[in-house]
Amino acid sequence: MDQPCNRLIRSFASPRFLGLLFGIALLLNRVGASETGLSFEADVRPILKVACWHCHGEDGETEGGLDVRLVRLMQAGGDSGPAIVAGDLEGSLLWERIESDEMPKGDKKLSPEEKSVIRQWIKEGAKTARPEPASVEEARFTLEELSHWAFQPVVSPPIPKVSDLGSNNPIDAFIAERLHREGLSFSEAADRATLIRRLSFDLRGLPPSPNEFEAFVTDPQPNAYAHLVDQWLASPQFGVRWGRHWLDVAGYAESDGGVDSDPKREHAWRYRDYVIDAFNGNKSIQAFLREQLAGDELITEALDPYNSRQLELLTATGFMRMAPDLTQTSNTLADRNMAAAEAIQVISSTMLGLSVGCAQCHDHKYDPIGIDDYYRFRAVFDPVFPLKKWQQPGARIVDMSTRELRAEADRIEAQAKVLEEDLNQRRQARGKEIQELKLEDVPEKVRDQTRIAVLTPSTQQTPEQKALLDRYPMVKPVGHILGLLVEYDSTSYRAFEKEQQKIAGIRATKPLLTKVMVTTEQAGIIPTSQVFFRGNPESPKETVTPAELMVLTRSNQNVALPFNDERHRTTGRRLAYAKHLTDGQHPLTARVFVNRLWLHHMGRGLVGSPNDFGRSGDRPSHPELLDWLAADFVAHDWDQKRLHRLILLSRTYQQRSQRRPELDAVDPENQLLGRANLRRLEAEAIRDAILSVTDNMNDRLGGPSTPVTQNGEGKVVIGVQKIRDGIPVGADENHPDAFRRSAFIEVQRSLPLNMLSTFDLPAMTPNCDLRRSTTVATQALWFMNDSLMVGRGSDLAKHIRSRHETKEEQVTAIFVRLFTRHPTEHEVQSCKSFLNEQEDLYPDDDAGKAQQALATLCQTLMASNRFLYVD
Amino acid sequence: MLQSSAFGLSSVAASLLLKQDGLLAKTLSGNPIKPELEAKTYDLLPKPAPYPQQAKAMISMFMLGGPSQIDLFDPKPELIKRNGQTFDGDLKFDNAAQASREIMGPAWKFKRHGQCGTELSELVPHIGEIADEITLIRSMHSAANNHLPANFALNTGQPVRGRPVLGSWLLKALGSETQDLPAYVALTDPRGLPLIAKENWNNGKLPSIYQGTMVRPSEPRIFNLDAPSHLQGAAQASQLSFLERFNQEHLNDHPGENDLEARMASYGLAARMQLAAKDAFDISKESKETKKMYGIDEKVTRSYGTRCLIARRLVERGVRFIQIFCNGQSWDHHGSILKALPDRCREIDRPAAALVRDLKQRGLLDSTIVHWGGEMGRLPVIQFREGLTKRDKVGRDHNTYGFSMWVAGGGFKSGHVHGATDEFSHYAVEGIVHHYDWLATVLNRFGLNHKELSFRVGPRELRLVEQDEARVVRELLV
Repeated sequence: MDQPCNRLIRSFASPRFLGLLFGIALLLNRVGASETGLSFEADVRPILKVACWHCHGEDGETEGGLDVRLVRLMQAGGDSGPAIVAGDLEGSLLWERIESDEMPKGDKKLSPEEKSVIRQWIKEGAKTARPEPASVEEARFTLEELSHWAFQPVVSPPIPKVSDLGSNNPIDAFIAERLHREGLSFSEAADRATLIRRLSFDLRGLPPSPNEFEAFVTDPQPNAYAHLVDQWLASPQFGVRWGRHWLDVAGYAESDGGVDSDPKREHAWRYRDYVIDAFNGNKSIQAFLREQLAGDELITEALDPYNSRQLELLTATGFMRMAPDLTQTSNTLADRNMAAAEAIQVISSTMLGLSVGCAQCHDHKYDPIGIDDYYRFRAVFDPVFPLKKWQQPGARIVDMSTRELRAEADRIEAQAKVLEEDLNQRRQARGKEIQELKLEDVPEKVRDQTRIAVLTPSTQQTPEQKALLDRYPMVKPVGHILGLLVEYDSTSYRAFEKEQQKIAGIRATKPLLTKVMVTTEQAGIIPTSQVFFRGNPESPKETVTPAELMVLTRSNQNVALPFNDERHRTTGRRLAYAKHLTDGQHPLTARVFVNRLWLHHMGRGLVGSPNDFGRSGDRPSHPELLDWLAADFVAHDWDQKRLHRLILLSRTYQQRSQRRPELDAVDPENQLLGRANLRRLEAEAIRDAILSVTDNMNDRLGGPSTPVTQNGEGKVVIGVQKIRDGIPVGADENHPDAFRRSAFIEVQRSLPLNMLSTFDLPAMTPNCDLRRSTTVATQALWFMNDSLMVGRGSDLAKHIRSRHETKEEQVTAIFVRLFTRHPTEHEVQSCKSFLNEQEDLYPDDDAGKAQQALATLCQTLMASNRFLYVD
Repeated sequence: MLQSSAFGLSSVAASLLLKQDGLLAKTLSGNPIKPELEAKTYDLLPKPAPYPQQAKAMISMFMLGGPSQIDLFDPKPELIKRNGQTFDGDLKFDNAAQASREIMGPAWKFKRHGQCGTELSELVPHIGEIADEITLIRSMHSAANNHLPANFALNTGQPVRGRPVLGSWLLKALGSETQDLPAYVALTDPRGLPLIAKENWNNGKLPSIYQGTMVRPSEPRIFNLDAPSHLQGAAQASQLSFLERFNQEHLNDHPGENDLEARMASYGLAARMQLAAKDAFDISKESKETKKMYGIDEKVTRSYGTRCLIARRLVERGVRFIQIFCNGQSWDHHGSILKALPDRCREIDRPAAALVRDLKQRGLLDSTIVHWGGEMGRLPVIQFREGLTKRDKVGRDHNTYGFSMWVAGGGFKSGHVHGATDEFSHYAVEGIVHHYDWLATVLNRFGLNHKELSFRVGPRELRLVEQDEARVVRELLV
């Protein structure tokens, strides 16, 4: 991660290139020339801002009367006199305090590199890059900070001219030109077998079927690959795969995220389907982003359950409420503020690729985002997060069911009610009988008294009555008896339970109501937006109005956003902001989005930190290409499938993934893309691939999620809790939908599916910028021993044995399914001898040994790296 | 472009710039250098401590909920004398709704134990028997007056959620002495997970290999440790050897891909873990005397005793950090303390003492810190949880301003009492040990300096102990 000196170096902006280089030489103690040209703004200020401002400048804090935000203020000094004297190190108190580690207070001292920059700068005369502004306020952000690349407008660069490119894809021109500069070139193209597997996982998250493979490798058409790209971009599985990527950044989960209780979000799946449908339907990304931020404000007419477009727009706004929100159970001001702040973090990291949330308590330490900027940005969303008029999650559901749907649900409910009332009457009667039965055990002379006592409400019982009931503890009120019916009379308890389940079964036939998790504004509620001093909602300070971050406005003037647009039922703030964000001129929106697409196709973004385009994020590996792609994307109406196609058809994408010594010598991380990247499948893709190759995949897409629960071992599995005599007793794992694609398995923050969490499913706290891939023994143990894995090996063996007779044919069929290629002769032989070895472990007359051995082979091959990685 | 520039810089400076650009790693002389921004790799190999190291391992018996120091560890004659009177001093209640100012003296007798004569309550007679081995701290202080913040403070250094816990820091600094077992183990109670469950062994922003591994209270103690029946023994050995050959051929197609090699190695670890972990959790071969000492022969102590014994077996095998948990916040005696506290103590007293004794007789106590304590203590006044009249249902509210815990081995003093609270056992007044002092002191015993042990997360330097005023409490140490 960032080392202190990296940060330092980053703060040298590109116009000051020369100074930067000398600065580095200085850091390495290789300073030859005496003059390095260090300036306050570029070199010293970033250090002081992080280490000193908190007490010497920010929020009116000037301890010891010292403000270090400007050179002239340091020269004027504080209570102890001037803090710096230009050119005079010994006379500079600031240096004395810093060198001795007296300052900054606390444990975090300046690094030797940071000190040496300050020392050199004072010695050279404490120079500024330009005359300092008249007021400190004007000096809040420097030109160096404001001129960070990501805040500048996208300017589409010319496509480099590269001779002998062998491609007319502009992407290749940019990539080749950069490689050539290092004396490098593209790797050769991957063979068709490799390519189809890569493309299939990339676009669908699934391996190619044997038929798809055979058709592709034997297709004589030169455009066979392009044809395949089109075919799979049109596949419904495409949206499932690419929707999942977006759900990561949106922080998709079907629960609120509490630790002690984690209430479910039963209707969240509609947002998941909205996202998948958007990718499948190639919704323009302009519309996609607008709908998620302001779908409700795009509805102009009255809500109409028969209007499916309205339903879509309302569903899209679920995006703004995906972050954890604990207010259903603990609804304090701090909880509300945290829910709002996390939502803002999701929104800003997703749309802007910036860690705006860092400015929640004080000015951002690295990016030119002030605390007031943060609250102005947040004011755009304040009407949906009114801390004083907060709606708990349960109150934010809109029912868009049609009359017919509701009538049908009511009809079935009425039916159930009738049965239930009858059942309850009989239950009461049985309770009364039991009570009488217990009274019979009471001696006759006090029986009537005891009966009167138990029928008297406990608050009105006399001490004598209480004493009586204490003496005969089996005699209880009917309510108590019914609560413990299983103990009093298990036979009738179970009979009643059976009936109760029948009633539940009737209720289960109710049609699904069209309930939507909506983020919108409450009529007439426009909270006052204020800066919270040091992030504390109990300390509101100056009032602010909604605005874009100052640094992102082209002329550095605020883009006007309405306070309350009278044309809308809502304030219109979000719609105005969403339009501004997607007007094609915004410096970040398109860059951030195309970078995400690039990341998932190539294994690494052009910007390596997809949610941080700011100064503490990574610099782009190919800045010109990033801008060209962003501009081209906007110019083509934010058409994402077109962009996929462009990337996929590039020579860059189709290269082999093998390392080459000449590349490794210069670029071991493959940032210049002289080859493709070898990648491990993500958790969902592993599970889906296993279900797919073993012919188990349940094809049902969309709709409510398949539930997860804990089984008797404590493992989180697919299924529902079995209840026996009112007590949960483990999971019923024979769920009819157990083999659906992973995107349709319930995502509970507190209960991640064991299989997926083993393979690095991210925790949505609040969202996920980048999937991490670990290699730990628990993954190996899963492949070796988990019943899910062992069972699928057996399934595949059965499937193969029913279609192929000889071991050669069986091995070949397995290889084609798992690895999308034919086995070599050597591989066939080695698999055969493994099968024999395994069979020999069983008794000669064991009829099942061939199946068992093949099952083990299938399991082992699915555990292999060849299956787990994509070339 | 850059490399052909004519600035005449030293090659190192130029390449540093290139690295900074997130790009290349080649000097002008053509020698490749490792890019600085490359993702670091983390492992659990043992690492030398930077300073003299007393402790190699730690077992923390964590008593979530807050055991009453007044009734167990901190005798106050004044409270007995003034039992039932009104407390007129400054009181920090957590639950004002049920609060009272009626003083409640300890309901149990204290007596002196061992050569050192430390006074302990009759509720913990076995701990009394090891009084000469322990240091009792009577002046703990965190001022984080509820379970979550207090628990975070004691284990992560600050009363906020999401920071890495002590165990994760120890792994980061020192790795593990065993590569066949999880390096950091959380042993949980059959009645349920502790409050906030796995956040108790959360690596926070440290790399995930430093997170604790939860070991379940019953078999399977770790998931998927058992091969399916048809694969046990030779069948799985043959399977893994075939897998290794097959993966090797794949690696041959992709020379230089470290990730592939690491994954191949992980199967080796998994296979070793199957054996090593099964063995570590199997207490059947322990002697009858040992089991008796831990109370495994008695129902009430069996569960906790088994976990204590497993903890010792893990330490013997090189595991770095083990924390033994009770369910929920089961020491949180707001009500019915007269019954609930003795119940709790009965389960834990004998096994806890046995653990110290057993480690000592095996020569492991000097290198193992044994800790017993919760995140808080309790108030000297009555909390009327179930109404003013139900005098048998009363309890005590939280107290994080003065509470007790004890520690043995690992370079801590033995037969020692440190610090004191005021005459009512509410505020620590002498030799105050803040939660961060405690953590700094533990790190010191492991040969680590709390000011230096750090991890960089983006622009932030993260440390277990970030308080300027934190200090190593030398008075506790030998």
